[in-house]
Amino acid sequence: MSENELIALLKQGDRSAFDYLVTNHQVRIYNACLGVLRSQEDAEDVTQEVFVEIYRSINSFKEEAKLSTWMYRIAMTKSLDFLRGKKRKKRFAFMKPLFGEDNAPRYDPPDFVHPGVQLENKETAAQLFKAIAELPENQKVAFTLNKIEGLSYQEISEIMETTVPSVESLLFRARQNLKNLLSEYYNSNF
Amino acid sequence: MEGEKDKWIERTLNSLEGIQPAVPSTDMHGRIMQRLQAERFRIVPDKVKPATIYRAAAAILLIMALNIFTCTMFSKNVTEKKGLQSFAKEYSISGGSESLLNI
Repeated sequence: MSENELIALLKQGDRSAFDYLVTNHQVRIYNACLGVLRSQEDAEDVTQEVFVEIYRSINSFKEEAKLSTWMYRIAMTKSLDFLRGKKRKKRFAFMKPLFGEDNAPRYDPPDFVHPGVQLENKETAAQLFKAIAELPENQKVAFTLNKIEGLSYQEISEIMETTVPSVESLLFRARQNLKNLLSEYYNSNF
Repeated sequence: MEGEKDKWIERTLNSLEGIQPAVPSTDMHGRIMQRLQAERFRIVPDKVKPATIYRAAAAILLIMALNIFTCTMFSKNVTEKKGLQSFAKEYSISGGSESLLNI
């Protein structure tokens, strides 16, 4: 099935076309979300949201970009929205003990270890993921799409709706920031 | 010391090399399809037109303004009456405030 045929069927609301889309893209979308969210559970929830959003807005897809590019764009937007929502909740949870509503200790998730990382790199990768979480949003997205999804600068520029030199610059700054964060971590832990 | 640190940073930055895609849980496909099925039968409420919202807001404002106006007028009336009554009482003028108003 060509991409144009698939899009036409999706726009008609064809169930088997959506089945095909989910079967062929769920792993990619899930992994893109996982790179940003650092939680398998959250990544699965957001992946579901991504496909629901695709279903709702497929008729407004203008086909100026590839379907996969558009899907990645939705995945990154949804993931960042989810993270923002989580941060808001965390801020609110911090306020609660001040008002004496909840004295339970705050729960911080353990270090995230990506299941696809090679065994010998698991420890260092956990530190890297912690540092990635501290990056500004656009650097985080560019780094995740490049290093985890293995996308080219051209593909990332299309997803982020920017130019290739901008992506290069984002990745350069992301690497510099990661170096600084890891350096701080090394100084206080080794 | 610095050399070791730089080596560790470099090793950490390269720790994603050869990363394999993570596999989602086996039931994710089914859950997504269920959500899409539910979406198909979702009843989307009609969007409220902005003009309707403006009309409702204007009506609420009008009611509030009328209430404030009535309350102000009522309290002014009461204060005036009370003032005249106490004046009449102090100077032992009979006939109440109504007759005073006719002086």
